[in-house]
Amino acid sequence: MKKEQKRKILFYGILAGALLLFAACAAHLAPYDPYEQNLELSLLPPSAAHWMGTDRYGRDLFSRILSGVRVSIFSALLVVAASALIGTLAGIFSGWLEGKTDTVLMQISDIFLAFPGMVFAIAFSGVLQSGMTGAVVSLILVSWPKYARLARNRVLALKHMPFIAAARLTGNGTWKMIRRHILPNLAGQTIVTAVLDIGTMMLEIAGLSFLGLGAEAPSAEWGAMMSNGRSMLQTAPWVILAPGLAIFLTVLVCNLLGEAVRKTVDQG
Amino acid sequence: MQRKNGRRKKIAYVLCGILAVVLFSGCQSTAADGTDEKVFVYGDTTFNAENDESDVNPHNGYSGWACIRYGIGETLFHYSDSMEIEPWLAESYEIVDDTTWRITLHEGISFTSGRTLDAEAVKECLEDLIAVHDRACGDLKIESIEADGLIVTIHTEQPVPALLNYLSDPYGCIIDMQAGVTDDGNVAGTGPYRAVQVETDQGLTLMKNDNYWNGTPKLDRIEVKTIRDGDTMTMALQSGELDAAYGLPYSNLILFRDEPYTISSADTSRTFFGQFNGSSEVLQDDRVREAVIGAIDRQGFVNTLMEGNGSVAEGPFPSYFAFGDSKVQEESYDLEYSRELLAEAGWTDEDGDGYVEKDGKRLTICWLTYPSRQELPLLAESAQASLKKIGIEVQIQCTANHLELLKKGNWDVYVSAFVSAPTGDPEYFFTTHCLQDSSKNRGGYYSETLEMLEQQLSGEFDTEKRTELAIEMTQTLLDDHMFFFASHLKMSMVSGEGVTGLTAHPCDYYEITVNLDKNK
Repeated sequence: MKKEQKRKILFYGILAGALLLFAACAAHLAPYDPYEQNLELSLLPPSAAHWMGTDRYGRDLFSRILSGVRVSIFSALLVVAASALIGTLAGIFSGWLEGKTDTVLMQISDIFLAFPGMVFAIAFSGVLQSGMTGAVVSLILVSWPKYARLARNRVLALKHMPFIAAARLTGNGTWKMIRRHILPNLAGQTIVTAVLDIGTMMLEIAGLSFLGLGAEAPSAEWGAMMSNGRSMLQTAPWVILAPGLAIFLTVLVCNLLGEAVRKTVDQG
Repeated sequence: MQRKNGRRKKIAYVLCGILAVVLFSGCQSTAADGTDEKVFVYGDTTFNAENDESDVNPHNGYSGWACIRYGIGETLFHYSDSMEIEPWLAESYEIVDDTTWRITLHEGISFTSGRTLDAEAVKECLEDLIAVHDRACGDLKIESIEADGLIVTIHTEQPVPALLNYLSDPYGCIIDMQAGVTDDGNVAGTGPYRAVQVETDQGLTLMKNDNYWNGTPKLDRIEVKTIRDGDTMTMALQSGELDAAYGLPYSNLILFRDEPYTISSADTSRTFFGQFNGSSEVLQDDRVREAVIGAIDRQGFVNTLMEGNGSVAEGPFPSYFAFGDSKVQEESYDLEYSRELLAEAGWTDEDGDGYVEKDGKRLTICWLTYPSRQELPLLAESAQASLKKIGIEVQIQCTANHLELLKKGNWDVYVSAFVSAPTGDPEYFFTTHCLQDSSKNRGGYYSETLEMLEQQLSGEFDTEKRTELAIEMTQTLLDDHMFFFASHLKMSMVSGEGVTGLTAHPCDYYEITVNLDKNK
């Protein structure tokens, strides 16, 4: 691995780590209660007292942005982790067992892949009408097939390789072979895909919340904050710019980290 | 090679010329007869099925509002700027006895279908109205109608002192029943404009009524566009795509304060109010309901969230009515008193989590409302924060699907908007919302006193006595703590450059009139 590549991963990793730290410590770092309303402080522009200004309810936007890190990042991580886990397991079973199991699992994944992801997520969230839970579940539903396809193709290629045949001859059982030989060979690609997906998922969660299908009031989720502030774009732009900027920077960090990891894995 | 290039250039010039002609021809509207059309584009948030305004047929739900708002239909009587009843299609009226009204129509009025307006046409229209409309039959209590030339005689089953008010309700728009109602809900009225295209949730196209009886409409065509999103409407008005708009977000009105825009505002009786669910277990205790009411910061809601575009409500009627807010007393915003009430009712914070509990169960209420009125989600979120201060957890359900959820009954507070006195008379609100058999009595409220007072009100012709009764009824309603009233709306319409004659009216439903004009 090149030195420069290592440095990049370290740098973006530190930034991502800082975001996670913010998420974990938001309650202690926020200068004000992000949910406490004070209508007398409504729509104050950014100042020394309120770094990002206040919203129409007089809530401090900086505190809400900090509080929103947790909602936005953890939701995205949950979607990515669940999709990767479900998809990879389905793909391994499908590729390893082949035959009818493979046909059925892949046809199910094809059904989900047949719809444009976001459209399906919007429809499903709308039907569920259960706020953030609904948004997370719908995004998991549209995201797992990608991981399943990835894992299946890799397993199909791996299972006929000589080292698997050798492992089988030495008496290794199915589970042991999957654990020792298949999973390690799948990990690289899956991790790269997952890291690259974090930014996308954050955007999609924010998108669903913006449409009123994700986080509910008074949640400080960034997409919902943008949606609530959009009528003030011309009169109090900081209300929409603050969460917009937060989404932009976080997604940028996640994507750059994902790209750096991808390059490293490819080179490895 | 050079010749080829020259030919390409020529082709390019020709194509550019054609494109320019096509583009510029789109800037001017030309009527079928070759003359230039005066076209007006109006943006509105309200013409949609969610508002029960799916078409312009006044006999269908609240579609009469669209019928009268867009200048398609007219009623026998209408309201002056001070909400006094005045004749409109009618020339005069006479109360023959408690149950008989004789109304004389104006001469020389015709429907846009070409038929002349006479007593027979009014009779046919009103008979259909009471046969098919869900509120009209109970309001008007018409027993029979006689038609003789231009004289309509209405016999009611019992005295209906507010008959003229009810006839002035938008559902009372007189339409030609012989012309009927088209599949898309279009009708032939007597107004300055006629609808030629009606698309639910999209808008409608209106054309000038050349034979209008009460002046000359100044616009040839009006395009009414339903734009649900206030920000989209704001930008459409700024870009000049719209000539005028109704329903802009309050936060954006500031953008139109200066030339070339004009804002016309009027205090209306559109009221934002809540009803408690009488079946809700946690709200059975009157003290809990009173605590909730006392913890809603109505002043803050009006001043900050509505940006002053309204007034704090005590009861259902604004203070400019003789039976309005200034005559009744509602709980004031007092968090300390609300906490005391909850404690008295046995709700205390047992585990120190900031929320009150009783027998280990947290006091949580489901606040059901809908988003098509921009004020309602704001009120919900504001109340959520202020009720948290007294330890009540509020779960907001803000959905366009609110009517379905209402039927399911899994809610504690239902907050909606309603024009409480569109006819200038107080009885309307009570009959629609507060009586045992009222169609909009969502929480199953019942008060023997109120039912008795309504009996008296329904037979009382004397205006002063009606006022006294209405005040007593409102106070009864407030004392029972099954309703709460947050604010009344000041409606605002913004006109673009050169637009005249678009004036807000306190009744909330006179918008496009014969006076509307555009000179740009």
